[in-house]
Amino acid sequence: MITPLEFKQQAQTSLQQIESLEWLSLPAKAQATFADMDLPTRKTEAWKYTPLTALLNNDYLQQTASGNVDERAAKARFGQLTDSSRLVFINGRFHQDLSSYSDLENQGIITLFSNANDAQKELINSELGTAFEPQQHLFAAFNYGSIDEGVLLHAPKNFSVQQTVHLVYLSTAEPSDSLAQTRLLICAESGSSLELVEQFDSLGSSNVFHNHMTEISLHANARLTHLRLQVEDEQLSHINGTHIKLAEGSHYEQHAIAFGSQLKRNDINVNFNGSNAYCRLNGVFLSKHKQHIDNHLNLEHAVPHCNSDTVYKGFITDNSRAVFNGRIHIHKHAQKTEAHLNNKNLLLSKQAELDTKPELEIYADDVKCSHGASIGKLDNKSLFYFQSRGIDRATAEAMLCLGFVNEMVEQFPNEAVVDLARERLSEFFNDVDKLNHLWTLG
Amino acid sequence: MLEVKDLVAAVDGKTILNGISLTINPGEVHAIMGPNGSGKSTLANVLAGRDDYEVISGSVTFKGYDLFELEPEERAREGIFLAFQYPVEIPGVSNMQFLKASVDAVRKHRELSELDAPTFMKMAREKCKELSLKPEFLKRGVNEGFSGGEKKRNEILQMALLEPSLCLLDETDSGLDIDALQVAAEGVNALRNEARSFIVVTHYQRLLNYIVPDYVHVLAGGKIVKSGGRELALELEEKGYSWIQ
Repeated sequence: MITPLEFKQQAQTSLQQIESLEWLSLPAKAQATFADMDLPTRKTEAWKYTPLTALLNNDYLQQTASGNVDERAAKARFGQLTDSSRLVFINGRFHQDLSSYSDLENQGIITLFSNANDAQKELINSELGTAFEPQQHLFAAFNYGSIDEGVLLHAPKNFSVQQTVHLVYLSTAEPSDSLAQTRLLICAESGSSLELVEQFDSLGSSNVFHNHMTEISLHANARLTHLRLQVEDEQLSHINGTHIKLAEGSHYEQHAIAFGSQLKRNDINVNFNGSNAYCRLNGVFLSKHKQHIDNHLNLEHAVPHCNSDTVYKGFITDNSRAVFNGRIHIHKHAQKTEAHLNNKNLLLSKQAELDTKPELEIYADDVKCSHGASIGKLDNKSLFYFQSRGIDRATAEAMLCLGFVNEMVEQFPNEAVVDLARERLSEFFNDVDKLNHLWTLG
Repeated sequence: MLEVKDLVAAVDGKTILNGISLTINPGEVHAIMGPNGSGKSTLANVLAGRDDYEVISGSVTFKGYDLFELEPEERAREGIFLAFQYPVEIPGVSNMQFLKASVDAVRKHRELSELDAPTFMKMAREKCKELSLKPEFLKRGVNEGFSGGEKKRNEILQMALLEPSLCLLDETDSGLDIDALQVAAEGVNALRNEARSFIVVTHYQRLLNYIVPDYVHVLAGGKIVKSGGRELALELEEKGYSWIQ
C-alpha cells in the first residue's frame, strides 16, 4: 500500500512520461493545477463516503495499460446497435480494427484528437477544460495533465446526426495493474441533435484504473440524448467526470446504469448558461458483494426559466456501499426555475450501506423545487399482490427487485441499449441471493 | 366449498369481525353488504391471507383444507382469488410478466403444463378484448397509469385467466360509472358456473342488478345480522342500513 503523497508523486511522474499532442494547450495548465492539489481525504466533504483506498492498494500508476484484446471476444461484448458509428478503446487505447465510423469521420463529425484538422484543433483548444472549475476536480486535472488521444464529437449547426454514436471503453485483465485515461469532447452547434451511447464494459476480471472525462457543450437549441452504461467487472476502479454546459433552449437527457466496483465515482455537473434549457438525469445504480458506487450530481441553475428532472434509483445489497449526492443550486437571478430531484433506494441486506444526500441551495424566490430521498425494503402491498396471485414470496421478491431496476431501464430511448442493459443485469443478478435464474424479462 | 365458523379477526389491535359464520357451496353467489366499517373488506382480506389482519378465533375450511394453514400463495393456487378494492401499481413489472408468472404458478400446482409464451400472449390478448382493455396495456407496468375502471377490469382479467374456485370481489363497483360497471359485471357473469362461487362485497345495491346474487348477507358491527335472497338487497336499497339494527 502506498501513501496519498506517493500516489500523487507517481501520478505526476506518469503525467510527465506520457507525451501529449503538442498542439494542445491544456495539458501544461492541467499539470500545474494538479501539482497544487492534494488527494481528497475522508475530511474532504465531496469524498467523505468514498475512500480512495483502491488507488493506494493497487499499483495502477506503474504502467499504462496495453490495448491488447481478443477481438472476437470484444465484439461479443458490444451492444448490437443498429445504425451506429462505433469507436472502441481497449484499456484506454483506441482500437482501429474494432471501430467503424468512417461516415461520420468524413463528415467531420467525429475525429480522434490525433487526426484533428486545424479547425478541429482550434475547437478542442478553445473548448476542452471549460465546462467546469479545474481546481475542484483533481482527477480532471490528472486526466488533462497529459493527453495523447481523445475523441471530438462535433455536430454541425442545425444538423441532426442520424447515426447513434457508440463509444465502447472495454477493460481487460492486464498482466499487472495499470492505468487507462480517456476523454470525450462534445460540441453540438445550435439546432443540432445527436444520440450518444457510452458503454464502459469489461472482458474478464479487470485490474485497471480507468479515469475518464466527458465534456459537453450544447449550443442554443441543441439536443443530446446520452445513454451511459458502466457495467464493468467489479475489480475495476473507475472515476468519471461528465460536465455539461447548456445554452439557451438546449436539451440534455441522460439515462445511466452503473454497477458497483472496487472504486466507482461519477461526477455529473450541469451548468445552465442560457434560459429555457432542459436537463433530465435518469439513473439506476446497483451494488453487491463488497462493491462501492458513488454518484455525485450537481445542477447549477444560474439563469432563469430552466427546468431539470433528476430521478436516481439505487439497489444495494450484501456488504456493499453506495453514495448518492444530488445538489441543486439555484442562483439569485434564476427565477422561474423548476428543478426536481428524487433518489429512491432498495436496501436489501443488513450490512449494506447507503449514504444519500439531496442538497438544495436556493437563492431565488420564484422557483419550484422538490427533492426527495427514500430508503426501503420491498413494499408489502406489492408482495401480497403477487402472493394473492399464487406467486410464492421468494419469486415475488425477485420480480419486484427486477421491476424496481427495470422501471429505469425500460425508459432508455434506444431498444438495443435496453437489451444490452438487461443482458448485463442478468449477469449482475446471477449471484445475488434468490435472484438467480429468475431473470426472464420478456 | 367454504365453511366459516365463528370467525373473529382484528386489524391494528381493533376487533373488526365479531364472530362470522357462513357456508358457501359450489356455484353460489353470495353478496355481503353493510355500512362502512362493518368489516366487509376485512372478511375478504382475511380469507385471502393478508398478514396485517390477525385471526383471533374461529375456523375456515376451504375445499376441506384448514385455510389458516395455507400461505396466501397456496390459497391462491387452491383457487381463492381476491379482486382488490384498490389494486396496487407496480411499475417496472409488466402486466404480461405478472399474468404469466401467476398463471404458471397456478397451472403448475394443478399439474397442468406450462403455456408457452406465444400461446399465453394470444390468450391474454383475447381476454383483454373481452374486457374492453387495449392489448397494449399488457406491456405496461402492472396497473401503471390505469384509471380506476381499468384497474378493476384488470382484476377481472386475472380472474378469467386463473379460473379460480372462489372469487372474492372486494367492492368491485367502487369508483365505476355505469358503463364500466356493466363491462365488469359481464366479465364476472361470464365466469359463473355450477362449480365456481363468488363472494361479492358491496356497499350499494346497484352492482347486484348486474351480478345477481343467490344470497345476500348484511354485515354490521362485525356480525352477519340478516341473511336472505336477492330481495333483501332491494329492501336495503329502499330502507337503508339503519332499519336492520
